[in-house]
Amino acid sequence: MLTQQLINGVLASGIYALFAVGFTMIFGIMGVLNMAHADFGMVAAVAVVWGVSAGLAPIEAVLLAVVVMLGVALLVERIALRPGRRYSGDAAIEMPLIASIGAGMILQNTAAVVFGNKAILFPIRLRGFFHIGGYLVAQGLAVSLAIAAVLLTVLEVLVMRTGFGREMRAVAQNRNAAEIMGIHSERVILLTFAITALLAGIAGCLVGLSYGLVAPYMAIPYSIKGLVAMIVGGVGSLPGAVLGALLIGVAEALTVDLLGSQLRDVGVFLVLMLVLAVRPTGLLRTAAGG
Amino acid sequence: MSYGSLRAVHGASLTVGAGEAVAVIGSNGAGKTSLLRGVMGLASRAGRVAFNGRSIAGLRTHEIRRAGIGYVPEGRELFPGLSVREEMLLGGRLLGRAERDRKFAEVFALFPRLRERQGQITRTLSGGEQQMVAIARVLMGNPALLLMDEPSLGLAPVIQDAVYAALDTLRRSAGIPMLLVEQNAYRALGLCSRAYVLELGAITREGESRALLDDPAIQSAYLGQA
Amino acid sequence: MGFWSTILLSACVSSIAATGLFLQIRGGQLNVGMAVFVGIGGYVSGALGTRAGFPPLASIPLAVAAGFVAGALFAALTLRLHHWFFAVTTLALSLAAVAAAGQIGFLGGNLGLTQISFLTDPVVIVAATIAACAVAWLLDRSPAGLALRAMGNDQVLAEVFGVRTKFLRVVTFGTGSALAALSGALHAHRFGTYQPNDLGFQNSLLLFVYVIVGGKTRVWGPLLGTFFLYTMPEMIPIDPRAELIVFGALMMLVAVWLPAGIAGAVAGLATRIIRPGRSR
Repeated sequence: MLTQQLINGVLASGIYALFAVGFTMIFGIMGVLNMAHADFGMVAAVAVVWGVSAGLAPIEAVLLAVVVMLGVALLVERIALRPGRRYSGDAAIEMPLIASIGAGMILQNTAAVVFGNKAILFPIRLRGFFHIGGYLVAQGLAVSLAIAAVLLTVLEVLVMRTGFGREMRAVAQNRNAAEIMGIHSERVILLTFAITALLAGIAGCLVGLSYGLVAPYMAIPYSIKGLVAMIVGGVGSLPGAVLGALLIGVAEALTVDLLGSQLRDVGVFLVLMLVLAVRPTGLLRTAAGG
Repeated sequence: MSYGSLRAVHGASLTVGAGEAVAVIGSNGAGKTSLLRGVMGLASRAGRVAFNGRSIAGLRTHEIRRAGIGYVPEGRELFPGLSVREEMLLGGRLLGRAERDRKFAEVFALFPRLRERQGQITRTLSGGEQQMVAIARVLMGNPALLLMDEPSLGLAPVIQDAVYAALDTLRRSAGIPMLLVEQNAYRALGLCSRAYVLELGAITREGESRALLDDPAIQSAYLGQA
Repeated sequence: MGFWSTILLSACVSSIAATGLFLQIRGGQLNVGMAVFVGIGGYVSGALGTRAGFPPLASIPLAVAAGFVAGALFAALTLRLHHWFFAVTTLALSLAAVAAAGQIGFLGGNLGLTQISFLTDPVVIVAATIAACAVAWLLDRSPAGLALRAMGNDQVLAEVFGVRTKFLRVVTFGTGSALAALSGALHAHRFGTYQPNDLGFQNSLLLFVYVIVGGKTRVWGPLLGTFFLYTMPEMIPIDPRAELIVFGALMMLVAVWLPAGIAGAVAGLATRIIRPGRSR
């Protein structure tokens, strides 16, 4: 039924939005695409599983997961992304991209070696359904959507209305000028990176919450859809990433309705090609910043 | 100072004293911009750079700004997506609320046009307005020294008048020392009391502005296009 | 010897696709979904054989042509995309292709094609490998090769210097995809089966690793990368996932320290040995 699928699509878009916003913020401020971004989410989720299995209470496990994931993220930034800055021309974008692909491979396969290839049960699960007006609303995804909405609103306020947000936008729009204004651009970049890693980590845990399972390779489809959402919405734009995520979620759902669930990835691809054909810079892209 | 392996400036030695307005004039490619970028740490440099008796040679750009040197770069280098007000807020972000409001009043008094255009995104402003924003945002941070790179570049003469009038007011009322790099030697020498001439990366002349203005060699080289 | 000849021949087949990918990456088109085009070759040749009775030596050239057309089409649709925009699109293509392939009954659905006629003659495989290298080498040496390198370095700048980037992108991507299709077709006829998962991201990633680690600045880089990374795991038996960890680390190493890959490093070293007086 169409409406049911639309509801499913919107519900799924919450988690996509968290990933998409992370990708877009990193690109906005660092000028690079971090292909390991979604894998940070996997690291957090897997760390929670490990923590609980080692005897920690869920809350403690989550805190541990945050610390572990931030550590991993900052390490990846140091080793894979930062060295790319010394290149010039197109290599400055290509090389960190390639390095981050390598980093992602390391993260995924290390987790696979430690935890096995298969999906693992996530300790905190919400697998039930609300029944609203005759439609089924997945509880886990509804909670995820709500959390995503809150987090992203807070983020938008941070970026557009606070002093630090101004510094973030300044560094993203003109790094040299930010330095002349006395902004410690490297520190701003690192803090932004940490914020995005946090978003990814939360998203990873929400995947576990909503689907009950996490796996070492779980980030791959989210990575791709997050990136597609970012491009569709317009790179560097936070509202764009959210819009893109909504579109991807709905497109997926519609494809499932029309062509069956096996072909939903085709829908995502078609939306991407359509948007790129009509508006290559993305739907909400402004010329600079914002 | 060098760009990569290319030496742009060599053996330059200048001083700016308290309350002084000093100009650096010279033709295109003389190395004037490199000089200022070197001071700010945006280009590699060797040699002594001291400010208020302290060496700043090893500091990073943002640290140099925090030490009190305000830089208005060539081409303005504004943040294209920010509004005039946001640029100024960035400039004054280390100030307390009350002091910041006071600075806003001060700077708007100097550049009344900007008060009207506060909410406007900088990339939609005219060249002259952008130049004003570039200066305004630096002033918000109470700089102890002002470095200005080609403030008249790309501006219509009428706008140049306005900008230079503001700089003159600054010089007289606030007494902020400034180092002004200019291709338009006439204007620079009109504003500043002392000047250096930079040619092909080296300082060739130095003296009081009045003396340089009267010098026939300077006149033919730099003042022909006044 | 039988074991090693199998490994080396498989490496040959993969290296053909790697060489194709090399051409695409050279021009700045970061294709992280090459397995899709490999798959087109495998499926077309396999289907022509099992459904229409074509002998391999007839269906393979057709598969190569199909690869070229598919590649050229994709490139034409994505002309305005640079680097990672392009890379993301190829990723999305990967996902879609695996899903689609699994749904087409004509191609055997989820189980894929089986009972594809065999063609395992080593001569054919080696000849194809040499031919692929020759194509790449000739292209690289030609004026088009120089234009390609310029475009890969900075596309906008290349345009300014008169490079017809649109045409070059389409033709190069098509050629690379044709080589990939050749590789896929040969693979299909070696093992007799072809499945949707063969088009998946993991296979694309491996090819990408071979080219980057082997070296994306020398024609023999992808060859070196494929042989080295294909055979090493056979010599040192380790968990395939640990193998991928090593590959990931190698990629990071190359991206950060050795952007020209092993081939580049070796070539640089050779220059220094042959002409020691020369400053770099």
